[in-house]
Amino acid sequence: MSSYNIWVGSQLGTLKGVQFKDNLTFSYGDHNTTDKLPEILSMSWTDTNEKEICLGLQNGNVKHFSTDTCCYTTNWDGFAGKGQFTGLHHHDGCYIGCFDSGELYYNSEDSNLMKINTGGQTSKMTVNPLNPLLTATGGKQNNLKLWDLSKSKEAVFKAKNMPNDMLGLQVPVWITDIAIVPCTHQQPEIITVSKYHKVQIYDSRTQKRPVSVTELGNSPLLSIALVPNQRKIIVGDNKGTMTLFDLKTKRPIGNFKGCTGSIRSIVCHPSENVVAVCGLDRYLRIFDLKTRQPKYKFYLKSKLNSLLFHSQLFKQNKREHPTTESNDTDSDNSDVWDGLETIEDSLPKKVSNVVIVLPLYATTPSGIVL
Amino acid sequence: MGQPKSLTTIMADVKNKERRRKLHQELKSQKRKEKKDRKKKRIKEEKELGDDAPPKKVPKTIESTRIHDETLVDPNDDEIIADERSDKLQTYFDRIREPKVLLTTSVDATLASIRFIEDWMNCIPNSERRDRNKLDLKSVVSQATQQDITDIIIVNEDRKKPNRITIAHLPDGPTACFKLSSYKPSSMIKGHGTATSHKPEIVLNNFSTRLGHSVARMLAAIFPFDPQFQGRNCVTFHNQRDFIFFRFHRYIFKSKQKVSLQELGPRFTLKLLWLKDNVIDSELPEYEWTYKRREMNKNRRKFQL
Repeated sequence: MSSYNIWVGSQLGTLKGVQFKDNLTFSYGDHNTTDKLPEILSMSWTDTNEKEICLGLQNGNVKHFSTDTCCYTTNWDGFAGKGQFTGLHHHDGCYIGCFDSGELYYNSEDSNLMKINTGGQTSKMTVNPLNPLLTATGGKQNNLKLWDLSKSKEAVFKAKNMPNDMLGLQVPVWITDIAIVPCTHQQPEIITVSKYHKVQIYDSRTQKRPVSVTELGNSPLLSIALVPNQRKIIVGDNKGTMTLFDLKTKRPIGNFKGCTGSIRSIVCHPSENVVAVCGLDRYLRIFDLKTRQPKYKFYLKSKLNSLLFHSQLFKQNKREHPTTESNDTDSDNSDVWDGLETIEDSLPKKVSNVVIVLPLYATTPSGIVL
Repeated sequence: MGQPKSLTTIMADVKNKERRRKLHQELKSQKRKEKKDRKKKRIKEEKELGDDAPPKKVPKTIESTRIHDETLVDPNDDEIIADERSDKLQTYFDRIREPKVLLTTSVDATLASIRFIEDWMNCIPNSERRDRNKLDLKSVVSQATQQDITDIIIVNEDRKKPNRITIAHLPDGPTACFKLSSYKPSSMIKGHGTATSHKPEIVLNNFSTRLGHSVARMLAAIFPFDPQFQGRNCVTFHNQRDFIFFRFHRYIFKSKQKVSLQELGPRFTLKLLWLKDNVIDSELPEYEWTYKRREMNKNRRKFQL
């Protein structure tokens, strides 16, 4: 059983496992061949057990990598030749893949490939973590759209652009990353980040226009991550500036200093107060969320595209004592179950809060309490 | 309490400039004397011990005390070799695309930039200078790609002096921006020679980190593949403390050990400001590296290239 707690996909096509405690990194992928390995564009866990990673490659192939045996298992080429992945998720044996051209494909259980045209170039597709069939897409001149893949091919929610500016010109739209606040119902809150350095918060329950729009910095914003259990997000731009942004006050709180290159992926650990970032500067950096101080950094030799936390192993490694491996696995199992319980308890509480408060504010234009 | 105060601490409290100056002179002569005594002692020791004498001390320089960089390239590293092979500049190193360079200035540039370009063009074979004439960058790039140009060098001007150089590799390649300083035209160099049209040899010194490698590859990709050794021309990009010194010489071997150099071309210094992964006019540029003064300026012994 491998003990790598972070998995990073690189532009060279190699998947790297990083164990931050012992400062180990290992690359999975043979780059000695003369042919170039297809770039890893998108990564996601196949299920919540976090035993297998689903990789979306440059040529449209989908590969599975088992973190237990540390080798590539299956290869699925149902999406081959469709284009460049801008989002890939696996749900119950089915694949949801979105491509640069704007096509969103859902490989449903009856093995029919359902194709949806998102209406333009798509830069990013994200899913609702609690209901992966609810996906959001957005791109260049292609505003935010929510799709419910279990229902119809029509968008469940289509965002409306802001009103024309003072010169009467249409406000340009280029959504680079989307984050869906996890929820069990079909009308989530969505936060998008655009090339025009705007952070836009949408509430699909109330209105089509964004509930709030904030200008953040001067550079195109490229990635976003939700801070779990807090009304905050982390936003990364194309120059390496990572900002912690408060959704309540809609102002930046502070920056995470250290990245020198464009930020491709930011992931917050679900329970530990830790953020991992990777990007074009070939480093994987880990910051503490509370103090915003850098904790670890790993030089990973090639440009990095995407990143995944192995949530349980990351927590275990923190409490590990330098004893034999067998002892560790026994004690760690109990930690694993403890960890799982706390996560489940917190979620229903949050959902119930939202349900109670909303009706009081139903009459106001911005329906959600921030 | 009983310890004697050093001259420097006494000096800090003295308000009278004359007295302080005298104390300073005293301090200096004291230090000079100590140094002389140490040297005398060392020479005496060496004489006495002969071969057993302790080795001569090497002075610490900023380069020798440089902070170890993780990104220092190991020439045997497979992954870095593969990374460079899959680079956008590999078409040059695979000898597929012969470099064709376009040099131009920023909009509304004065004669100074044009003179700089013409001076620099002596070293770069297969290059061409065009007037900018208020043309926007997108048009420059589209016209250049139509004419199969591989690299565009744009010299930016400020206060009637060239101050920045942007090298853009064309089809979709990386773009680097450098700060230009200490420019000395070839006419101002004492005893300079005139360049011939021979293709020069390229020397790239001290580009040790991964970022340094990327920059060095970009600089090398401007020049033609095979140098003409008959011409005995050599272009040097010497990196020291993140400053890249450009020199253009003609060399001649007087004997097997002795070489003499004649400086031909311009002399200038470059400092990397940013390195972008996309073309110069890309709609969504992504930076591989940017100079962040507040974060990178903190340690005098940490270098990026």
